[in-house]
Amino acid sequence: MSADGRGGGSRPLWRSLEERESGPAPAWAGEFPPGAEPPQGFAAGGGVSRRELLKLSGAIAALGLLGCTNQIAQHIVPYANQPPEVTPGVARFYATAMTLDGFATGLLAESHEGHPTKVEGNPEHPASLGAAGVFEQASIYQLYDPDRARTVTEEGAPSSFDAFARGLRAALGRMDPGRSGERLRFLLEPQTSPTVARVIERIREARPGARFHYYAPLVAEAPLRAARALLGKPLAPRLRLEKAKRILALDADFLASGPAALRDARHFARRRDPEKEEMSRLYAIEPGFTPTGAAADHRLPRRGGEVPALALALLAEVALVHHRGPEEPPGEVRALLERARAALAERDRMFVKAAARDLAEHAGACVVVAGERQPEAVHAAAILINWLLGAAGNTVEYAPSPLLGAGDEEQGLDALLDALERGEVDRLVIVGGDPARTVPRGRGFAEKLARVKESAYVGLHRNATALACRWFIPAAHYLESWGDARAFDGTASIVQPLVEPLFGGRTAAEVLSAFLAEGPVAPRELVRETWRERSGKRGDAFEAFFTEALVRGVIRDTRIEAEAGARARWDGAATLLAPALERPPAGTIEAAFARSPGLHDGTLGALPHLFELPEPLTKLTWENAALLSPALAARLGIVAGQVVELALGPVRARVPVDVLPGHADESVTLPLGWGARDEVALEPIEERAPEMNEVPRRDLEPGAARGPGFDAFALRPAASPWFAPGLSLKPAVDERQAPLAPAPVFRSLATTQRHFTLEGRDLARSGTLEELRADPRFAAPKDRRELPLYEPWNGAGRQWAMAIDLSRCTGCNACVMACMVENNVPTVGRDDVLAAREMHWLRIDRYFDGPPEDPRVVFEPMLCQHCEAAPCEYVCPVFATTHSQDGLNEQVYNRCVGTRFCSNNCPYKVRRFNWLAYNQAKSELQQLAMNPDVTVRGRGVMEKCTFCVQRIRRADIDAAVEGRPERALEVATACQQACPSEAIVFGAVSEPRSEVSERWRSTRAFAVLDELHTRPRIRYLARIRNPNPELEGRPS
Amino acid sequence: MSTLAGYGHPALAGALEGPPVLAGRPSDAALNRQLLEPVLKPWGPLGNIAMLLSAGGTGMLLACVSYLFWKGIGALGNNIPVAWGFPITNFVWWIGIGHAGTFISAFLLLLEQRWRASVNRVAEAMTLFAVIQAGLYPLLHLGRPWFAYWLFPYPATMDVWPQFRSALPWDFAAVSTYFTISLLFWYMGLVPDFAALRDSAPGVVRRKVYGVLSLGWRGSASAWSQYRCGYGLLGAFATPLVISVHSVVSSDFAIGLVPGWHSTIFPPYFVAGALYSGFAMVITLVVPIRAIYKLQNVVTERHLDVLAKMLLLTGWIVTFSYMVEWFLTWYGHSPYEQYTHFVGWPLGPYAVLFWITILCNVVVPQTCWFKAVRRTPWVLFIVSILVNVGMWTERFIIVVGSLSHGYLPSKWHTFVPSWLDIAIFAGTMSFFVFLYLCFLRWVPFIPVSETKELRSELEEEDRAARARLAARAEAGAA
Repeated sequence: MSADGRGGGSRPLWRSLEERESGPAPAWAGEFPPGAEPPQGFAAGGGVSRRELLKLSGAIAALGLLGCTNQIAQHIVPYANQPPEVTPGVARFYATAMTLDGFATGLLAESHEGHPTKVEGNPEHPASLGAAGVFEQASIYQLYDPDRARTVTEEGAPSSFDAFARGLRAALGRMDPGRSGERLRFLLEPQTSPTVARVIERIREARPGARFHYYAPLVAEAPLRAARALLGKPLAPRLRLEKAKRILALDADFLASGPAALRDARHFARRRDPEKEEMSRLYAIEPGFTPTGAAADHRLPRRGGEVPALALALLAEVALVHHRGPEEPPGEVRALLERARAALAERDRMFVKAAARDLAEHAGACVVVAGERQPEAVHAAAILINWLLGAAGNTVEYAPSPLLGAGDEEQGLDALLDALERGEVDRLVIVGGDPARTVPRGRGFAEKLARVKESAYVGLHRNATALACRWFIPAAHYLESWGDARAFDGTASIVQPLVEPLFGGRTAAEVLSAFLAEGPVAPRELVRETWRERSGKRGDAFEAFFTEALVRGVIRDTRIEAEAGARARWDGAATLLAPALERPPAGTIEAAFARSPGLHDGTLGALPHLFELPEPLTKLTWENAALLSPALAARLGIVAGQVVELALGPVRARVPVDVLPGHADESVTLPLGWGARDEVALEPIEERAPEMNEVPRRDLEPGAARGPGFDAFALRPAASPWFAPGLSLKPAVDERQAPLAPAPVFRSLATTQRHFTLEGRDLARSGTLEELRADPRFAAPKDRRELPLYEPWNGAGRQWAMAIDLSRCTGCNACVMACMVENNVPTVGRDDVLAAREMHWLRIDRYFDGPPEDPRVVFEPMLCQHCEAAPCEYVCPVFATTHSQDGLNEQVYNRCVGTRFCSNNCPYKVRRFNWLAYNQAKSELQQLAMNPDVTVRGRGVMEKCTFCVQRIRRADIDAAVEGRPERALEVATACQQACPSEAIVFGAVSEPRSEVSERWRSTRAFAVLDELHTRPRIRYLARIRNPNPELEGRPS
Repeated sequence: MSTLAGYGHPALAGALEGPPVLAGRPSDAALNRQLLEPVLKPWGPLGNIAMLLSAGGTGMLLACVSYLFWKGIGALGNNIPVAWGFPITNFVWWIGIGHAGTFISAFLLLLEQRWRASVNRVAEAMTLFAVIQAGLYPLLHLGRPWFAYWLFPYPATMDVWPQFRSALPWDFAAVSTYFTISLLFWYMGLVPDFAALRDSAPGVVRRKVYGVLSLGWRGSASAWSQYRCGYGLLGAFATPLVISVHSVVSSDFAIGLVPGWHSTIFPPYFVAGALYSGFAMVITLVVPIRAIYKLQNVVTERHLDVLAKMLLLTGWIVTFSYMVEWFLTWYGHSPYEQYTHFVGWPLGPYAVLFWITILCNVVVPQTCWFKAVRRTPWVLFIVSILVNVGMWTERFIIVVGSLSHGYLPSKWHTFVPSWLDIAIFAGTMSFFVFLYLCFLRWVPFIPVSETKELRSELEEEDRAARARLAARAEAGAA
């Protein structure tokens, strides 16, 4: 083979499609990471000097003589020279950060011999505080997603990034000789990256006419607009829930969504433990049912369109009744508020009055949170209430958003759409997201995109947007990227890669740098340059700075301070608030579009682990359904699982419904993010009825990101993207039988929990704060006589145990996902979920209590209870499940023959069986996500929670190696570590001072099914609610 | 009074209840001819078709089992919480059916019940073949069936023993012991008849085969004496097994703490249920055999009558067990058990099956109070089928009905059998029929020697009765 990569027969040889397009890669390409300098003498095209050739030949000859044995080709390459910091079998952790809608969550990524297998929250990072949510946990599966795109394409034909950059430079020179940048536009996912900001700045310098726009389907502009009107600047609220004694959420799911959800959930939870702090009280007004609503002490289920009127009435109550201050509302506003009070519906009056009084009584320690879905009026009302009640500066502070172009309408999607409409765009680069699918169809984004001459898309998946663009460039996953990002409060983190880009993906900054004069710059250099500039350090000082940033995962002094002087004002409030007086007409059904708790906006990819994650309230997996209240279902004659015909404006769809107790009447929640499809929406809207996709079929087209469920984005009207009145539902009819008899259509919904009540059983105990005060032991086990035949076993030495505080649990699923990633828990697919064969070691049971229109919710995480007198152990015929000295109920996979007697005899039903070879179908790529410390179970064996025994044994080993016995106690289970609200605590109950012992001693502690005398090693702490006596016992 | 003609004297009629256990007093040669003829004469087309069909069904069973092993038991309908579904239901049902055989052959042998003579082999074969079906299921339902031997206490190199606290190794031992003893007992009874076949079979091959099977039986008086002794001993061994096997099988449930399983009444309740279903199955088999082979003189209405009475008796024990269970549930005050017994079963998703159970196991056997029912073969046949249906649904309710509604309502889930569940059940039915047809084809299914013995005993009694009557007549004359 000659040097130019041509074989003897002069046919060009190539290793990948990319190489074929770009010509043969230099010999060292792929051997060294992008950004690394090739060794001396390997300079591209430079050739080798005669001297060097002789030196090398000599060296080769010497080496050849030394190793005169046949070398067998091996696929697994051992560490010939073990890197000093790596011990095979011992995981290493690297600080990095993941962004969602631009905001960073600081993470510590676990690496096993060079491939990441798990992420944990970075305790130093303000958005994480050590916790990691569902999407952070699932990002490991995203990294190894076989659906990820692997090749740069131009018009669908394989190409290369070099070709893209070359062509780009040529085209820019041709089309824009004056370097004006006019007709060049960029559409990015929301960005906080200082590096991206710097590159953008430089592009702007070079081509002043270039325009940048930011869009994500779930990011609303209303909060910033309201803030700009009332506070003078587009400031974003930052909650400080650790100080909040009274909280009112206006359709705000602050516990489970948003850039600071993990932090907010932690701070909220700390005030839900009546033994630790004065308990807070949470009011929620919301149409659907969110974890925040489930955590609320009082919840008012109302249509989304009614929330503005309620917010206004609340403001009126606060401003006119409870507020005695100098900031009296001006006459115009006063009149508006009076009208709002008068217009308040009778059924809401008591709630609003009581909540307003309660908030006012806790002025300075209360906060009103407005949800992103709500219009400016609601955010304005929230800002004003927080101002009037002294919350601003105490429980909430307003600070400039770290998002690029935040609050600037010129940098929003609308401006881009207008420019596209006017034909002002020749070249459009889209980075991330899937706007062709997620922008409301009525805006015609996909059609307009198709008219752009030169378009390029950078993303992980070849999705609808990718297919609509001329160029497609695979993006690098954050675990493969050098980059940076800022948290909700501006704290910056370096995103450092744990692995080479698996498919040669590029980072956003790298692609943008192709528009610079010097061409694409390696991402690591881009990041270092940014921070060299920002830190103002050079040389060793910079290296020390950069190393510290990498090690800590946060960069000091990058937090954006809140605007201490930001004070609201009444000017302009009237126009902002006036629309809130309009209520949607009664009797019309509203379509409420909602973020899916398990998929976000659906652009994360077709990840089975996310699809199989039960939705917190409905426990639905593998698809979405239109959610409605029992009363509305009864009125329409629909039952759960029935397929209905939805009609919203011109769009029609056949979707299944699920009945959700506590859902607002006359409102139907349509969860977004499901039903991802890859064809582009170019047909007239009427013909684009979203159909239910089946389980993604990976065999269809490699690289196509597909999703099950229906695509609610396709139904979303442009004018009212969140709450659209005028939805009509009618039961779908099977056409094939229609002439004979109109047969309704049903669809089995794959839920993991079908029975929602406790049947009067004392399994998930809960009570009010008053009940707790009256009888602190109300939840404790009743005095039951235990008559053991044998001496009870208590174990000697260290004894492991867990405590789960039901008061803190919000049902957010972070623990469930963390457990799956840590313990190699497989997914089983929709059919097997329908057959009740899901494998989750940890599930969250959800029980309703009270009237179906306004039920109370208890979430109860359920996992192996590690009973001291375990019923599973004595029935196993082969000793496959036994007890360890330190109190673990162990499962010996190798010994299991699969009689399943243990599962039958488990009262908690937490054992999971490998009915089929669920792990066998995994590709080599997916296998990389497996935790090497945990056995991958084969077909026919039982498995269950092990209390993360691999972590316990690792701690034992470390303790022995380090000679530090206390190290053995420093164990956190995966679920505990992920939990944002610190609901789960694991530790040695044999240590009286451990936190788990403390919780075990709590008067709220109880064991589930204690009357069976299984003596579980998990204690639950009863859920305590803190209802307002004024509202208690009153149906809303 | 033609039916009483065989007794030789009308006055005997009052001394005996109901019809005789043997109609007429055929000679040894006539009995030999009648009872060996089914084995020696080729089958008609109907028999061959039945044989072919059941062989096909057995082939399907093999195919299904192969598929099950290839695919994994996820091919069945089981789930969590219902980790035991069809296989264990069918296992218990088949084991129960296997019960009446040993009861009739061993228990009644010890009690010297005459009526057992002509039906015992039919019942024993049923036992054997039912236990074979039953034994298949625990193997098939394992997650990793290739390790089934781990349940057996063999000297493993790693010194790992089965766990003796679990009921499953007990099961393993109980069922295998039961099968072994039943096989020996059945075979021992067959030895003299194989000898008779050896002596009368046409063709060398058959004579040789039966010759080998008869183990050199000559019929000498000393052989008979030892044979009777050994047969009686084996009967004594087998008798406790009738009680133990199903008691042990019931422990699979009783030692668990699943509401609906956790009950000390299970052993006697299961034994009674097993006998109940076993007697029903004997009737199901005997009625058509009797009709097809025209054996009304050997298997008389008396036999049907007695079997029906046993059905009634065991049916009542089962009914009583139900009532005790309900009482204990009410008295025990466990909300979980009360839910299972009073809501989950009678009103839950399997309510139809529950009420079928009550209908078939409590109401249907009451028809056996009537003599007309007991002595009308086709009615009895229908009753026996219903009883078997009822016993199957009872097992299903106990296994699936209990598991599907356990302690935590969050994990309530029903079970729906997959096509493979149904195919394997149908396959074991076919396999049973296939084995039974083979038995009917090649083995004398009415014990020839015992029938002859019965005949001679009856003749002896007749003679004695006649002598007594004559003496009384003489005395009267004097």
